[in-house]
Amino acid sequence: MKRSLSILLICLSLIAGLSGCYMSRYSKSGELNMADPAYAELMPFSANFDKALYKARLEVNGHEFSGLMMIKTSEGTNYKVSFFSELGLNFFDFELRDVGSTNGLNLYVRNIYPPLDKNMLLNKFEKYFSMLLAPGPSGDVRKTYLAQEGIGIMILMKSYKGKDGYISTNLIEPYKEIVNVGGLFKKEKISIALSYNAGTDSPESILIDQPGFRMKFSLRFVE
Amino acid sequence: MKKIRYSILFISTLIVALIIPSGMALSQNDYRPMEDVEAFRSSMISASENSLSIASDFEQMKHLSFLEEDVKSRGIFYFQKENKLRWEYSDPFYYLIIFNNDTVLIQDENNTNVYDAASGKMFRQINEIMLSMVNGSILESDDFEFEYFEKPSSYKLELRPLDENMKEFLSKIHLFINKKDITVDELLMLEKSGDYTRIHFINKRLNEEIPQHTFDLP
Repeated sequence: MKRSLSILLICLSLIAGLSGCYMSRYSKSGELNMADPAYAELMPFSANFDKALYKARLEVNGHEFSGLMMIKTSEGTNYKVSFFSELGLNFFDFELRDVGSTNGLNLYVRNIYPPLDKNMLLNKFEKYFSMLLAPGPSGDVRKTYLAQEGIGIMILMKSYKGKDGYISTNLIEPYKEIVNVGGLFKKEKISIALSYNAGTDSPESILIDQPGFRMKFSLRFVE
Repeated sequence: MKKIRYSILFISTLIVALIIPSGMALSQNDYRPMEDVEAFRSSMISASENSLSIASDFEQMKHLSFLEEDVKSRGIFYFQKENKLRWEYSDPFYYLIIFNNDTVLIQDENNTNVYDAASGKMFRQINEIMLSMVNGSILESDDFEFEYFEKPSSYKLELRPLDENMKEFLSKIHLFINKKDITVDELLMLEKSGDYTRIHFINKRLNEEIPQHTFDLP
């Protein structure tokens, strides 16, 4: 009796886990050699990207921070980011350095408004900016997946935290979504939705959402 | 409620109230310690008493020391005694702050938020500071340490915040005041990080009638 009950509970937990599995939305579609440099151009910030100014809005634990954010390349594959209020007062200055970790950039804080100076929050920022600005899946052989509903091809790769999925409509247009999945059931942990204007080196809009964590981060291109 | 919002509003109120008592960009050089501070204070109070409203265009430049970049914006603001304010950015983005008595509105292209100024200590402080600016009593404020300078065409006030909350943002505020009409020409906010924001007020209109709907809240 006890054994039957245990098996039932295990089955129920597996069903519950699988129902939250992000990868169940996709089916395997073989491997793709992404050695062609053209694949690097699918990344949200192209190789020609220099700098961009965004209108930014950060909502975290019921607090709102709105203002402008400038993202600028620095010494090749490194980046600098400043976020400041409309009236000019600084929220943070970050540097993101490519130190060779798997699809990750290391975040260094140069200046930060004290209420935002929390390790947990800084780790989140490091992951978000890594998903956007790290080299991504190009340059290697990657597993691909096709969306079961709608149109979409996902390139899945290991990252320093879980796996990052880069989703494109046709592998010609830039990635429209980046997700981070992890854990036993590959649940969606972070979702970044992207939109573009033709002929630009950076996205028109970026919406970062992390289910289960009270944080939303939206950016809209200004200049 | 939302500390960061209050801090932004605190600064905007400070800017507006101080502009009551200066039209051209001024050099920051050549200033010497002010000879007659009391005479200056009297003229500030007098100018404030005679200023019922102000409308002005502004140009803002934020210097990002870490990125070695400048970000420019511009807009217009309106102030009307006793405590109505509209601070509106138009370029390169739309952003609006309205103070109307005890209510504050913050609006951008996608969001509108209205706050009750009476509900929070910080808002009460903002209102008090604004009024003190209008009647010139800011010079008696305990929230700042003041230094006074002048040159033939203008005064310069250096305000060092004493309030701990303000210190988190600002290390110093410089106000450049036109001697001719005792109104602020330029405001410089210096931050601990080495960043600074310069706001230049142009095309100032004093005591011009401002339509009341300018300060309407939805």
